Amino acid sequence: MSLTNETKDIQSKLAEYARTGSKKEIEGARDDRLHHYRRLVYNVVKGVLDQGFPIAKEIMGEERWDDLVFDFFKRHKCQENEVWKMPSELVEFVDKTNYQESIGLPYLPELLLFEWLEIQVHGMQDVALPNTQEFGSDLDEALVLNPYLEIAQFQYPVHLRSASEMEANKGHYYLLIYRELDSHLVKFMNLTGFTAILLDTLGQSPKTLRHALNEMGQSLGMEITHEIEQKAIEFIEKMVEKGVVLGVK
Amino acid sequence: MTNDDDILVGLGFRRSIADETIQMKGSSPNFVEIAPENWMGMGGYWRSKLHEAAERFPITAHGLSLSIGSPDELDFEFVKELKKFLDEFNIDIYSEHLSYSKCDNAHIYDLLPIPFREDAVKHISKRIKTVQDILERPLILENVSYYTPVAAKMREEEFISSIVKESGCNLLLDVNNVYVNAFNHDYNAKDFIKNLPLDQVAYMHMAGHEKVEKDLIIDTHGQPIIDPVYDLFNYTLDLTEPVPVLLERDFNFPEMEELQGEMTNLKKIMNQKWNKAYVVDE
Ligand SMILES: [Fe+2]
Repeated sequence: MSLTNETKDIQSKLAEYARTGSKKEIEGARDDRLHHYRRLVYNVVKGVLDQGFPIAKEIMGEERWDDLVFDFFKRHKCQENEVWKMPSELVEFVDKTNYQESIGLPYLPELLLFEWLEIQVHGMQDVALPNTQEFGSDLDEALVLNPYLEIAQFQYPVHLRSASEMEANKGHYYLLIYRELDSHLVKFMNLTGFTAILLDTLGQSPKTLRHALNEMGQSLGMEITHEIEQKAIEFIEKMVEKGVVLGVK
Repeated sequence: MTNDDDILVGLGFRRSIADETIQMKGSSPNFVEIAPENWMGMGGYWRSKLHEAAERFPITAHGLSLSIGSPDELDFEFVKELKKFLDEFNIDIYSEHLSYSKCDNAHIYDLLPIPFREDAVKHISKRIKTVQDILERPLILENVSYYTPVAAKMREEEFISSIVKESGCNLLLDVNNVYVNAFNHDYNAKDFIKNLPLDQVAYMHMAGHEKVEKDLIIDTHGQPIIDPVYDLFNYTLDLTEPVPVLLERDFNFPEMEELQGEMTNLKKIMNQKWNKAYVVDE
């Protein structure tokens, strides 16, 4: 290692100051200029997070949001090389530290996750899509799902984007967040527990609707009636319309 | 013999002006430059825009996260991903900053100044060779703007020259950064440039900046290029061989015509200084 400990220490001190804002004496540096590094770094981080979490920011208000950003960048060592992925680390940080408890916003982790999932799905890497045919409303056709989607379960209705709605309506929510193939736009949709599991089962590997329903029947210990099959077909037809199911193989 | 093909002016490809750049009419850039980290690992809408840009323009890359001056170990996984990305978009010119942006296992997401010291020269030169080996491309390092020296034991130009000499890397000469640093640290910009290893310059940047205090300029890339920086560019071109020149603009975007005007200004100077076949029609 050619770098001396002395040089290394000096570099660490400058980086730590830029990252945390806690100032230590830095050898051979101009005191009246150092604060620009803290300011510039903080602005970059704040800018990325402001853009990534507009709802959380608005609900928390400027001051509490700023405190969170400050704490996050100080206490969490960011690992993402690509700054557009850095917001996922705020989600992690809040989760790990139970930050929501200290500020009395129990829905915060879920709200942040929801906002991150929008970014994540928007930027999901492109994959080659198989050729598909139109869904014939048949239980025995192998369904192909849009690969750009996430299904998430929440206790708070984060999609309503309102603090009072979230506080008043704790329950079970299943959200589908997906990217339209042609427009590249991210959309979301409410699912029931049943349809969430159905899509999740179908997403694991290409399979027929009958196969997926049987799998669900076994794992949930329920009987798959003709009525359930019909409902499932109707649901898939709707998903085809929305571009969530691309067709059949 | 220098000809028109050697007079290449580029524009930074940024999201806020992506469509305007892709559809630009009239005098348009010869190439566009991207920050690879803003596009790597990303699909969907922005990926499709990048493909559109790549269909129209050759692409150069100017990285953000390599952190060549960091005390931390190189992120080999990242460098390998980067190579894949550069290969995919046929990017030959890859440059980075002579600074560090990661330390003690934490990304800072901005450029910090390295102490100008002999041990840092050795450390960085070794890393440059490793990166070049993995990327199978020359690394082109940029003189960065900085607002305070940090524990310097040599002059900045000596630091840069030593690294270029020891590692064999190329130099991205950012003429605006020289102007900014000369102003902020009170040295002579022309003398500074004269003392650089100019035969290793492979790429140049031109940009605007912002004066925030009476003795401090911040390198914002949010303003038009000012006349003294054009003057310095003129001076530099007398001493250098033709290389691609990029107009850096990162925010506060004006109408496209204004950026086109700046590119035309640059091209005119480059033609006058570098293109022996160029006839001034005035
Ligand atoms: Fe630059």
